Amino acid sequence: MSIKNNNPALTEAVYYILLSLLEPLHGYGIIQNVIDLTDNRVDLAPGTLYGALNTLQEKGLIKPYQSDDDSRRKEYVITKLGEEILLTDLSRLKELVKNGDKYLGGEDNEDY
Amino acid sequence: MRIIKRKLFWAWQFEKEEAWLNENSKEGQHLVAVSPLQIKYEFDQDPSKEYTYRIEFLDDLPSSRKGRDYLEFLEELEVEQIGSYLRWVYLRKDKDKGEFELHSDLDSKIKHFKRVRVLFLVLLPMIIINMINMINLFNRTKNLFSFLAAGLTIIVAMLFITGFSSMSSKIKELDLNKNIWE
Repeated sequence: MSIKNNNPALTEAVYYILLSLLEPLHGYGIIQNVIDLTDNRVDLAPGTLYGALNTLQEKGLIKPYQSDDDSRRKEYVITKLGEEILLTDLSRLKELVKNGDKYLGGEDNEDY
Repeated sequence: MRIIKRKLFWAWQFEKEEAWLNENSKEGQHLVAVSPLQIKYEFDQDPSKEYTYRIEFLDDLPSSRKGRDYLEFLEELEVEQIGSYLRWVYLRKDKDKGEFELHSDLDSKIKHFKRVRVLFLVLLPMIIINMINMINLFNRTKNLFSFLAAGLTIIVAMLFITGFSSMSSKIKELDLNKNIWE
């Protein structure tokens, strides 16, 4: 019943949220980080982010983070399980890229 | 100066309503209060500003703990709530502070449409039973009152069916895309 086996592919939003939460961040921080990482391509919408954060917390992939400053903003950080799942997905993604390069890239098509 | 406009949108037309509010904002008239029961919209005038408006049907009442939690989360992201009606909330964000969409993937869009569809679905059986009763009453009594009552329940039932099927066709369209994209 492990999450790892049943859901082989993370959504793009979840992948980038987990990646961002290797460091504790609040909602705004996550959105900014993902915008920076993807050069403005992925702009997480508030409703989508909120839903994802709640689900990820419920499934134990992230947890609330108690920060020192007394700001009311909720911060989150990835859990051990979340990291494992992220790593599993990373090797899946590497495989996708490797095979894509093999079929579409090749030597005559370096700039693809 | 405050401007009052009256315009009727049905619950399943919330995207059309959003588009109308955004057009108004582009022209310098920004929604600041809403009372859907009176189909009344109140606008403030400020040609120097522009907002993006969104309307969302929440999982919970905006005043509940979960609803407040979500609205506080939105506030951190510069999204302000300007009004609500039952589980509907009217939200806006200053255009200078960036684009404003509530859902950035197909899944959360579908979830939102499904939430709205449930609203029509749960009340529909009750409305149809009511309609059948009224039609029966009219058949027995054949008076004006029962004729009007039966007519009214037929109209209400048709509105709910329209709402339900409107949401269903949007969901179906997105579901089809979801077989390919996320």
